[in-house]
Amino acid sequence: MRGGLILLCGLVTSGCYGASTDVVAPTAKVPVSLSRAVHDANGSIVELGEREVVGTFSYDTTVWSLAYGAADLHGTTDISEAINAQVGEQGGDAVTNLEITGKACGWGMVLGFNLLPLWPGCEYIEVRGDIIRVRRDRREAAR
Amino acid sequence: MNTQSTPVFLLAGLGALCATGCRSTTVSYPFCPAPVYLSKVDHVGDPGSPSRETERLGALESRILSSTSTVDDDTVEVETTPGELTADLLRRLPVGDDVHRGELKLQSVHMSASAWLHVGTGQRATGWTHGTVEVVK
Repeated sequence: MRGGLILLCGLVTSGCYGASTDVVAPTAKVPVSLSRAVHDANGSIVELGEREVVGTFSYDTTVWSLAYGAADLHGTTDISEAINAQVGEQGGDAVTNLEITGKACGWGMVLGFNLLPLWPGCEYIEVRGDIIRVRRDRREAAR
Repeated sequence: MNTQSTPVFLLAGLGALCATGCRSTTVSYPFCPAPVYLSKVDHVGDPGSPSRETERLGALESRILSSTSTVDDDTVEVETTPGELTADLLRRLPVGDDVHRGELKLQSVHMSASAWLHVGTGQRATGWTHGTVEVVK
């Protein structure tokens, strides 16, 4: 009986839960663009035929919060280090077509428990992009 | 399985089931002809070379949203497509051939996901981009 009442309260009154974060890349050593476009040193767009995709940038993380999402435990998600490492491994010059996807996770959806302020909410963050290399003759021409 | 712990597992299983249908949102500008930089580095080449001079045209605040709700009220919102997001951005850039002189420098991409349970259930995933619209001098 008491368990039923708790479940009923959970169904009726439970509120918002989740998490949020700011994705940044302040110390990336290469340009990171959310579009397909990137500039060369002269300010010209590097055309598609002047570059090649040499790999895929991939970064996944989960960010958490407490107090129904009011207290974010990961205010900032810095992807600079991952960019520098993965671009360096592939010998790339830039990351283009960066996509950042956020999705609520199920941890906060456990009915009843999510009434508790200290019950965590979370969000999956997926970051994907193309690691590109500009053709060497194009780079020389831009200098 | 202990009969007293059964409800806990049932509730956890229900939560996991909900998670499979969680809404997601993606921030990207796949159709934009101008660069949208998240990095401070704004061109390919020698990282030691000076950055190009740019002139600030204005601030950028755009929002992408994916939401659903079974609650029959005004909380149901429309999903924003990457094409709509790019179109919003293009209105702030130089027109014609000059569009390639434009670029966007983002300070951050804010991602947020939430879900709520009242009489029904609802979920929302949002993304905001904060930055400046600039043009190469």
